[in-house]
Amino acid sequence: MLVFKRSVVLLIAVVVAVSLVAAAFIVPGVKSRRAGGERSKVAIIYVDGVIVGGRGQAGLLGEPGGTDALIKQLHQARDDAAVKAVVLRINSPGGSAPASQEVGTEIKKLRATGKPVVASMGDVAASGGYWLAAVTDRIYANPATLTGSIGVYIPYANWQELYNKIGIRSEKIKSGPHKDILSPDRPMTAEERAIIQVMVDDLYGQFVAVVAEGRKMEPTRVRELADGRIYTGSQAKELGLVDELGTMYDAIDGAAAMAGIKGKPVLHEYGKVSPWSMLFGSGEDVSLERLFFRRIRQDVPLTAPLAIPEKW
Amino acid sequence: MGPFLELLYDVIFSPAAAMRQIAARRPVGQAFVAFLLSIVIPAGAIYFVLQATATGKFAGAFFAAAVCVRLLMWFVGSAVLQLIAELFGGQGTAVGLFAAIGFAHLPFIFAVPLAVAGLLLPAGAAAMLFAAGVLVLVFWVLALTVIAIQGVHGLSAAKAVLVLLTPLLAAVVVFVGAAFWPPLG
Repeated sequence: MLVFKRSVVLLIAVVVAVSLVAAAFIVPGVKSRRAGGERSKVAIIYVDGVIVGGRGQAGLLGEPGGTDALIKQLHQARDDAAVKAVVLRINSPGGSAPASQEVGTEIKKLRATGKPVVASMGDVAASGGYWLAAVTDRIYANPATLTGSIGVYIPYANWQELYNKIGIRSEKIKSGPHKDILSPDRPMTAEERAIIQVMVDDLYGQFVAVVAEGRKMEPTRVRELADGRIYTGSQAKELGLVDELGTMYDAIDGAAAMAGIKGKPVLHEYGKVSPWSMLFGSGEDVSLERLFFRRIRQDVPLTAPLAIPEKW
Repeated sequence: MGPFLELLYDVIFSPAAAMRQIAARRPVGQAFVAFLLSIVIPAGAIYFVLQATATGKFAGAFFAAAVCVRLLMWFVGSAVLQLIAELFGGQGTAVGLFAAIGFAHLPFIFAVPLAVAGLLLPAGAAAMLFAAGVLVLVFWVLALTVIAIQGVHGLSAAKAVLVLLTPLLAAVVVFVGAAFWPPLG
């Protein structure tokens, strides 16, 4: 029995010792093998829906739609040495100008690291969606994609008559004459209209500059195209607003070629949510509390980049 | 060497008898060797992993810190458990419990074969296997600690579990109390 016990213990000792020696030799090999295997990754980052700043709404099967999550994904792609190129899959009618601008700036930073960023337009990549595409290295669109809508508006509705009819009388104590500018309970004054127009012109100028720089066009030419209209993908291609007509997989192949990846690239999709993170909520991932109990954000108008914060 | 190997066998395969034997003999030197093996071997494996990564320059510091901290935790943890066991009516000696807890950490040596097996699997499966394996090892060590408390102090299994859980419960009470302090109103 004693011999048996000693033999078992010695056998365990041998197994552990061999494992330790194996660890010393296997670990570097495995690391390099795994790193080598990941060398040809192309990251896919989805821009779905209205582009709004902050954390946005929680989606059931995706990360929150706000640009904070999008920017986080861009940073992850930048920091992951295995990611050699990024495809930005855009399916967005636009959103707020600051949010589009912030994401656009982060895309430029990602490109500055030497990783090509390619835009692939889905159903629609208009306005703020086009803003993001314009800062990428190459734009792919389907012939029937709706794009363009380069321009800015700030919406305003005057509900004073309706308020009068239903007996609502709103009063404000203001710190300054323009503190309630764009307030829906009174008409806009000529002075206020001029103030807003200057803001719109400024934002429009910024948008035009982004497109001119990204598409390597003269600003005057961009202004000719940027009267707010939408274009089909094939029209945009003819006008130089899009580089190639093709699907998302054409864009992936294009991104891989730009990054010098040979063969079929490994795809890494960002923004997936695990059932675990849905249940327990980890960091920026979706949680039940955010899914079910958070106040639903008011609808954001779907057309052009806006300049109005949700809370005035 | 002979009795030591047999004691190691008994700790793994018949822990109750082994812990009673350790309580009676109080082999602190052998317990020190067993404990050192149980921390040096896994820490060594982690050292190799760290060396293969960008954090390689910290590998040595990690190894030294891991060994020192675990030795300190063994000493302090045994003292705390001894106090609580005596409060629960335990009759064993502090040296006996110190030695028994030293042996109770032995299953951690299996972390290395586990990690090597994980390295040979695809990344996703490796993470799952390693997490499950570590969980099993932790519960194994906790079970051996309970058996050690039982063997040394002659307590019932329920009381031995309470001895082990009391520091944890005390920590929870302290943290919850700190979170709600000062009281509202």
